[in-house]
Amino acid sequence: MSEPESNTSRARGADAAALLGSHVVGVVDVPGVPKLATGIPGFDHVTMGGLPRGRTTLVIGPAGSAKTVFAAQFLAEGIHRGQAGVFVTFEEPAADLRANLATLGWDIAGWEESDVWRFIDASPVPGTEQVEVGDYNFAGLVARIGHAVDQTAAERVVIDSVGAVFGQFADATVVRSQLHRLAAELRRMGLTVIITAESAAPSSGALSRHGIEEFVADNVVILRNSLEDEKRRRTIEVLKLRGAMHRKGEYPFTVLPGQGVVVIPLSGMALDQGSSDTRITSGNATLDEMTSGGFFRDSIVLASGATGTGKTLMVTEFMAAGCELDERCLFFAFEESRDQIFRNARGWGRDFEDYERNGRLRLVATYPEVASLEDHLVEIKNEIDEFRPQRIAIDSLSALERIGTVKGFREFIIGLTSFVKAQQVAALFTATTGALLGGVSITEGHISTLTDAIVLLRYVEMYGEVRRGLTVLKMRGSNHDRDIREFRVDGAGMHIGEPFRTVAGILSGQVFNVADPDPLFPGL
Amino acid sequence: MSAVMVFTAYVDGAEMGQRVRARLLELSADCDVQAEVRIVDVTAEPSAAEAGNVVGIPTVVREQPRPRRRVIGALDDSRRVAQALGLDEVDRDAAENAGVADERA
Repeated sequence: MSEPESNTSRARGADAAALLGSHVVGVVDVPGVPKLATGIPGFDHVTMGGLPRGRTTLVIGPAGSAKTVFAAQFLAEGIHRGQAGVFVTFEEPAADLRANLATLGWDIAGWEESDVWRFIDASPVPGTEQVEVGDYNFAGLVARIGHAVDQTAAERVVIDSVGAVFGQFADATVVRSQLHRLAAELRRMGLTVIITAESAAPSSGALSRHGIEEFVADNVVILRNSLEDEKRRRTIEVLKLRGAMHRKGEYPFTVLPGQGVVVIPLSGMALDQGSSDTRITSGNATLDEMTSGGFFRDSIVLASGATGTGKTLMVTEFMAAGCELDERCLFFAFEESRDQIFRNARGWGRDFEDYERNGRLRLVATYPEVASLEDHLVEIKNEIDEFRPQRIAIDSLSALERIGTVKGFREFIIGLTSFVKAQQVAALFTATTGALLGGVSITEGHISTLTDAIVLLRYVEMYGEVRRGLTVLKMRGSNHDRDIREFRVDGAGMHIGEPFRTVAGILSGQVFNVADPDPLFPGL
Repeated sequence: MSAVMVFTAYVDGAEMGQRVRARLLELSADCDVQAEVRIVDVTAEPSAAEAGNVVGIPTVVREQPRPRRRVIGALDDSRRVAQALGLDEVDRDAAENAGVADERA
């Protein structure tokens, strides 16, 4: 039996409302080009501080990749930070943009009235034609942008999109050289600029369709919207930031109404959370004994077992215990409806309706298929931020497994556990094993190393009956009972009894009877 | 009888303004059009560039007669410019309307 590790509590400086992934590994002050924090959730983590200030960044992506939303959000977040912005549109008319972006919660018309947002509408007017008869430059565009910037004291500019510019002007050579000049001029004005561009076909070897990156790209961000296993996965990648450090690789993101783009940074988390010595009840007195006092205040516990083995009961008892102690308990249900859960709880002697009425319990029951994994993660985060629970439960994580790819699910688990850990709340997650007797769930495979404690629930076939067993498989930082104990369920909940002594192979599902039970452990 | 046309030329600087004006007047005269040319220097009057939705410089807009015509770029190619700005169209229309071959002085 191992001795418990000593847990030391360390001071945590992080704001409890911190965004996902706000702990940065390693260097805090990164030398190089100074950065402008964009304010786009999660993106400043990936760029390690924001976009290079006073420079142009190319944002490349296919149709439908949310480039325009991302660019508009760059301006919107700027306005929230007291930085005015100018949106130059070559593609959609300003009126359309105003209306479309309003669904993301941005009052652009209002900002225009306060002169902190200006549109420069260079979108094609149907029915008018312009004929090119000779050489030209973009001095007209430069003058208009300069004028708008002067009048609003803008610091951020967006040009959407390069492809639309090429679409309006026949001479591609001129367009390229003029965009190059424009970028230089904007840099001279000290503006931080985003230019959007269409991706090239993968076979072409270029990044963007018009090869614009050769002329305008000190800094490149790529948005992707790929189809994998019949599921859409949106990712953002900072390909390069000249003269500045950034995180590499793709990060999943989602676009939420009322919020816009939310980038979900993962595993860049520092493992610097303090840990608590305080114990809380699991909701079951015997289980508390088995864990030498209950779960730690800030632990993530996984309860895993086949369907019907008692996971929801465990969650119910965990939530109810918190409510009884006047703690706020947040229950995410992905498998059963609110009514079913409340009815089950009543059947086990817990009055969820009462807890909900007095604000102790909040139940969020969602059908997994209604949103992507990234959306669910952001919603979970938002609920936690808003309700500020002391206890969280998710029943079950496995229900979410089926709506994403394997990679996406693993990233979801990492993002979820990282975020929950940073909150320092007690969390109980359930996972369903596929096999009815023994076996391992896919969820377990992803999450087992990230949790502090694991409780397994198993069916035990004995003498022609199906009985149930429970064991604490691991518990970081504490002694715990090594036995697999039998439990019964009745109208008062879970009753954990004696260890199984006459059978072995419960965890593998291959149960067999052992010879005489040890007289020292009468059990059964 | 010459037609009258009104143009706005968006330019970048006084020198370009003079060149464009001269060129426009020349091309117009060749087509027996009496041209009125208003020069807008976008660097001095950016709000006028905004109002005219002007990106490329030089841009020449025929304001009258309607419908408006717009060309962008140096006015090097006489034929193309005349055609694009419709410098010759008024004459043709007038002749057709008159129904009689019009003797031009």
